Amino acid sequence: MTEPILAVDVGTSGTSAALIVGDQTTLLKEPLTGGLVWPSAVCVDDNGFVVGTAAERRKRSVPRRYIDGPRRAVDAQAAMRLEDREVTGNEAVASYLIELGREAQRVYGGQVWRLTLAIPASYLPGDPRRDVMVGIGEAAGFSDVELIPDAVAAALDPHTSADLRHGSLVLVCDLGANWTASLVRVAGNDSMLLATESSTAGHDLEALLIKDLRTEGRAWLEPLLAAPGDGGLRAYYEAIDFVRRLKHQLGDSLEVEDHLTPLTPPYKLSRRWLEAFAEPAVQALVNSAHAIVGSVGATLADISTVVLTGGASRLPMVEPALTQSLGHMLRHAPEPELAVVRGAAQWSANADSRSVTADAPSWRIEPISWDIPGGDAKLLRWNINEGQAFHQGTVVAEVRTGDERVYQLTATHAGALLRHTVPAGGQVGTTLVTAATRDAAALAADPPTQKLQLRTNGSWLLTPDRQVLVECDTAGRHVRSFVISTGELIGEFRPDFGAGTAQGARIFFDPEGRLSLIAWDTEGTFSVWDVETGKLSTRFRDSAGPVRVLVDEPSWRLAAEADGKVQVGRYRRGVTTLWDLRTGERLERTGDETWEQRNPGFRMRSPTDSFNTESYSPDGRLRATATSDLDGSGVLSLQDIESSLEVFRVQAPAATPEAEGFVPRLLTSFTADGKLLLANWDYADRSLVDAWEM
Amino acid sequence: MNPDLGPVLAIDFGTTTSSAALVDGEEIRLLPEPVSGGYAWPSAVYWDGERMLVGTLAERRKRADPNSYAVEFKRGLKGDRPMPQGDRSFRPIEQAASVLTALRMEAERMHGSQISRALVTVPASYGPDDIRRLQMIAAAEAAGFSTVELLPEPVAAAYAPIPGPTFLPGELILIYDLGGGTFDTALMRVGAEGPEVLGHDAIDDCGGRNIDALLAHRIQADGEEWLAPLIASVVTAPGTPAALRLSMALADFAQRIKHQLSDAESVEDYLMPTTPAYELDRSQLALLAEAVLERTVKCSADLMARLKVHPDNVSAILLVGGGSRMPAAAEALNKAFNRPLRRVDEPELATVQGAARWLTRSGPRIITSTTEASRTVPLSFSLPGGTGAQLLRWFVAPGDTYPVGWPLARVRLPSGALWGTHRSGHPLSRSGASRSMRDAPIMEGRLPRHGTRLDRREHGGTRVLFRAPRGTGSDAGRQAERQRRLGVRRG
Repeated sequence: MTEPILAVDVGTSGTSAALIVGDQTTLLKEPLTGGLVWPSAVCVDDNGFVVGTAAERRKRSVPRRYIDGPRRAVDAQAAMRLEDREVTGNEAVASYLIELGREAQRVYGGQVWRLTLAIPASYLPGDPRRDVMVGIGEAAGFSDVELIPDAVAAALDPHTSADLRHGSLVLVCDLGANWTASLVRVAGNDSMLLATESSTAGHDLEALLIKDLRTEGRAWLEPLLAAPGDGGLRAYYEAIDFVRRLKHQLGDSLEVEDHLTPLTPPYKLSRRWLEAFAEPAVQALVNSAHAIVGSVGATLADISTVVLTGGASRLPMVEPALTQSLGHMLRHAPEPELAVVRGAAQWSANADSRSVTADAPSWRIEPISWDIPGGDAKLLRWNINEGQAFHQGTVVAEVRTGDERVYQLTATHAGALLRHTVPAGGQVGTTLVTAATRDAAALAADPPTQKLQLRTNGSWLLTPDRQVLVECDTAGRHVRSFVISTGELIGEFRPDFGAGTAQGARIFFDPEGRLSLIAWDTEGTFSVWDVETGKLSTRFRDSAGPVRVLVDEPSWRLAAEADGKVQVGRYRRGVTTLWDLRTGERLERTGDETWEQRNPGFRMRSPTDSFNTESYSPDGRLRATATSDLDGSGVLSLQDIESSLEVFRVQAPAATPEAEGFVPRLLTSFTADGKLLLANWDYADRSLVDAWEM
Repeated sequence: MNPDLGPVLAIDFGTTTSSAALVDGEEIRLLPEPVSGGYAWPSAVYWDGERMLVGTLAERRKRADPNSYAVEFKRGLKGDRPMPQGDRSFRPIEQAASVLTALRMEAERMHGSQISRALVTVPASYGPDDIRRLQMIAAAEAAGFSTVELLPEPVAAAYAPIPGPTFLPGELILIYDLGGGTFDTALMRVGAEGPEVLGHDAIDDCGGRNIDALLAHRIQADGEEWLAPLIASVVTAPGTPAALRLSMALADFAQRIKHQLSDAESVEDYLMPTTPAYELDRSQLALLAEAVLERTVKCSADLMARLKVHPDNVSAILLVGGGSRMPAAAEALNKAFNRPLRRVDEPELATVQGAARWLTRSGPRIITSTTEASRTVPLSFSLPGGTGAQLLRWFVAPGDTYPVGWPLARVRLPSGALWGTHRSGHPLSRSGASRSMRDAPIMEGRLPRHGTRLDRREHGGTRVLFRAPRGTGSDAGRQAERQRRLGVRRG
């Protein structure tokens, strides 16, 4: 879906716009000058609004119908008196956008419905002027209006942000009509404005220059300004333009001199003068920058870069002053006036990627909905709390329709309410929809979808956070970790056994909770690895290969049961050796078969494993148990606890021919988010994990 | 017919007089005022320093301390400003709640158990967004009703039982309801299923009380000679209890004369035993009421004009409300429209009786949840950026099919950014491509309206919820069938 988008930055003095179609961005040229910056001027003549350079040209003949920088009137939410009529800033900006829309339509060859509008960073979320800006965009004929703070757009300008890492902090110093310092976190679609502070320094600077002009040229300027009729106003606008022109010229020369009119004496302005004027403003900007960085708990060292935008950033003394006091190399975009529109265009080009995927549907949940008579109502109250169960016929909620009738919303079958989708007093449209768990009968008739099946010749372990499955090869050749929710392999450890191979291996958690691989060979050599670091933590040697290996996790000891070394009368008895897994020291050697009773903590499997013979879903509604059928084969049974009805049942997968007749051991669990039911079937020759979507 | 509602108290809360009827199933019983025994409850309250007395009790006590007495507080519901009453101040909503509480308690006593549901009639001038609707609901809730419905008064009156020949389906009836404080009018069409209200209108400050006031003023002017010494003897300053007492007596006297003129051509009465006789006849009253009645007639004529109904096409005019008892009202209507006039037995009770009858005919109040024969799943989105996202538009219409990944909607986040939403397959599955990647699920007609604020905060995001059928291979046949049926395909 390639939808054309118009990105617009309506600045106080200059406006710029870009048309984005797919990955193509075209900056719109001002029709009269061919430049990319359109003067932010509006003039109302008898035929309506005239904008841009056309308005600048008309201002000499109708100075009383000219508005310089209509955005300022939006900032102040003010109206302006234009000779015989009143014009609001909103109207003036909307008329400007209409003109830009026409130009975009001409370039694109069709109507453009979507607008990305840069707004001043000072319009914080919740500021009613944001709604005003959306309204202005809609009034100008754009159905879909998106807002982006100008500082965020400037930080996204490809000229200065191309190499920034995701999550970088960018300090944007915008030296337009207002001088603003903003801190932006650049992170693609999640880029956001963190803090902003502005002063009217830019405007003050202009005012100072005009004041100086009026003092210096009192003799010849005042009579011009006092001219009767439109003449005086015309002269005033000329003087402003004159001062701005001189200021810009100081970018490349130390001193400039010009004449307001061919008949007036020369007026001189030197860079040194300007610097003296601008010094306090630059200092204020630096202070703002320090303040906002501090306000979010960051330091200047955390800032990836400082970006300088806005017309006044061309003033020669600004850059050295900021570099010195912020200790950062500045990034100075070419044509700083266009940084915002370029960034807004970049944001617009990624529009299609700003999309939210629907949450994965759940087996246990179904929508419950009511058609509202008349198609409109207010929710009066919920009678069932979130998470509370209801029966068939229960009044779940009540609504008041537009004609003041109060209806009860009842459930056609039992379930549990999951969400209050509309708050009490909120508007309900044609239909009220919420989510409910399905009743046991419906679940039983519709088995859940199996999401994944994992198999190994060794064993499985579920970490205590119930998010990761750990596979241990039967001979300890590898240990692999899988994220259950995605099935993704996130780690693999292959221990180094030297020349030999292991006979058996299992994973346990040491007392610090670190995953350890314990492997042994036929000779009785035991090796213990830290799975995460891959380090061999200890290795020790028993006299013979073990027939049974048990571990006591809390005391971190190992018991190796060897076969037939002790002769008692006619019987050969097993010998058990206890080892300290920390040091590899032998602790005890015993032929006493009751050793396990004296040392009750020893287990074949890690007790930290979250698989169990019985488990409960996190919401406490479901219980999974391992049982057996009449013929003795293993069965996983899932019950709805409230109704004690079985909602799902699954037979043990068939054994391989080699393990024929073997009854698998079944353990179950739920993932931490309750989204998956897990079953671990342990056969002699392999171990399976099944997962079903709940 | 409406057994699900349980007992409901239908209430006509009037400016000067209220009435109520208890509706239990098909049975309707009017609620008598315990003190007077009549069905009219004065909408008056009296604060005795400890309790709020209501109705006739308040009327009887009003002369003891006129400052503790309040009436016509329904007119103050809009601003709801506290008014001094005795040693305290009460808001009109509290005064209304007191009257409604008295009605509820009497009804519960009569019924023998709790009554939690009320139907309150309101003037037609309370438009859909009128604050007074909310105030009336709030007053009734404060009076102990947990569920409160409202009904426009003329709609209620349209359901009133009318003696005499029944109207035929299709006939147009104009309802003329002149109450104590307000005038309401409505045009209804008689239908086989019940009346259908075609339109209604109202004047907020035009009722019988306005005529009483004019008459009281006239009495004061006519009786200047004997009233002046009386006033001088009791009134040392305006606003004192004695002055209030005298003006209340005058108002009551005016009302009494007006009521007597409903049945008599002329009347002679005495304000006090020692004062001279005061005489008034119907024509004099008619002259006095002319301006008020003219407004009501114009309001009715305007309504008919707005509905493009010529008065000649109206079968009858139904007179409702205490004010319509005045012969001058009938005369004014005859003069203006010349249509047959029909009356209910007690015009003051027409609204409450009609409201009670409407209740038994207004259909059930239960909506059962809808379920699809086939399995549907809730489709929900966790939106970034916290609460306050707003739905800008849907890209698919209910019933449309859409491929996976197709944009479904566009929302505006609180930051001003526009985000899309789409439905994915199951990218998490390890066993190859998800089945639903190939499906084209159908969007059900279960969508919030454009502009809906999506406010549920969940895991730092906002969640929107609507429902869509489950996209599984087994549903493919059903979907194909539905697509054929709907004849809509997208994507």
